[in-house]
Amino acid sequence: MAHAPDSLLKNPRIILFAGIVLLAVILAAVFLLAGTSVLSPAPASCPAPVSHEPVFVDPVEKLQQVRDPAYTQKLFDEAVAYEPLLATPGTQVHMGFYSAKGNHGSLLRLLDTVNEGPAATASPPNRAIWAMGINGYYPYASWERMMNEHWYERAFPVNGSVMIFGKSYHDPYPVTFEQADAIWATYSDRFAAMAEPVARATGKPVKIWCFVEGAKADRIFYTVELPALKNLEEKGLVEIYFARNQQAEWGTMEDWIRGSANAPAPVQ
Amino acid sequence: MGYHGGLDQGICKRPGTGSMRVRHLPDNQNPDQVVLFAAVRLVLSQGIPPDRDTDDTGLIRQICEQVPAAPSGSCRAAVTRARNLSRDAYRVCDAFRDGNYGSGSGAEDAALRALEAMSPGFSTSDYRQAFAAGLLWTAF
Repeated sequence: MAHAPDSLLKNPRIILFAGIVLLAVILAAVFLLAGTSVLSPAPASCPAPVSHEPVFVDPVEKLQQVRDPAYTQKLFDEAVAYEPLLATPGTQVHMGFYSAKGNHGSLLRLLDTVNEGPAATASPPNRAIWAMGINGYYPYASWERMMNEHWYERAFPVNGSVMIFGKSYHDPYPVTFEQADAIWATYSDRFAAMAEPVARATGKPVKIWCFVEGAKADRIFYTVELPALKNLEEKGLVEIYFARNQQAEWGTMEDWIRGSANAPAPVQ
Repeated sequence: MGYHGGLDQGICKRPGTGSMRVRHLPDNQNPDQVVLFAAVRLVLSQGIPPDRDTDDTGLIRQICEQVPAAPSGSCRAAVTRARNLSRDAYRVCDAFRDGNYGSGSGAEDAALRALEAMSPGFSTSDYRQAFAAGLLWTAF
């Protein structure tokens, strides 16, 4: 059998088989190194079901938690866990904000345009996120948690009990309307601040897209999010754009006003 | 790309500021009430109500699956009513935040009464849930 190695190399079936195995190994390595995000810009299936039982957290404790700057890093980590490209050098990340009736749908349309259109697979790739999560599909774990804490239901108890989806609960930590507002506002502040770790990780200023036509001065956008974004704009970490109207298209620059100095005036 | 309103309604896509889910359906109620109960919860879970009419086929199918005894026409009607409730909740909560119902504990009651007047026929629990959802939607 001394001639066996030569025979193996001359056998075309064995060479073909070896080639297939080698190709499979290379493909597997590409998938592992690149992650699935390169090949599938948007999640295609429903997220796995998670528990949605109400969670009763002390509002004072919650406020402390969300006020901690570490909460921003937590949100960033959650976002990157869903979409590693958000922390990949070169990725152009976009963050969307909205306020007032009719603007929410416009923002979702923009997110889809970025995440599901040609920009998603461009080089370098683009990705868009918002306060809830990645696209309309995948909420951050922290967002889910906030939803399960039911702050506004708890702010208006009935005879000492909280009604959530027709079920009565005892709330060990009474919540005021002001606390509920403060908790959500602070969450939003932390989300806006997330532009900083994103910009530092990607090496590119984050592009901020705001649909705020008709937004009121006393709501979260003008009281919390815009001041936070202005601060980041001064540091060169974000570029802020305001939609001229609710029909603004992401790829049409005439539809946008650049810079917080040119921010539309809120409705008083 | 079309207006996003149509995309809002995907079964697993949960846009907006709500991800509230159906937890349980009430027992011992007539089918119409059970269907309405399910519709309110599913519609509120969709988040901020879209301004335009949307394709609710997926929602209607979900409700019919949850309440198999209900005819599809009943499911469709329930979704329409629930959609109107969510839009009214947005309007009422926006006005509530503007102080149009006064201040203090009476403001909440006044807002709930206004919501009931705009969208009659729901349970007290449904109004309260819609009110809570509306407060979140209008916070931003």
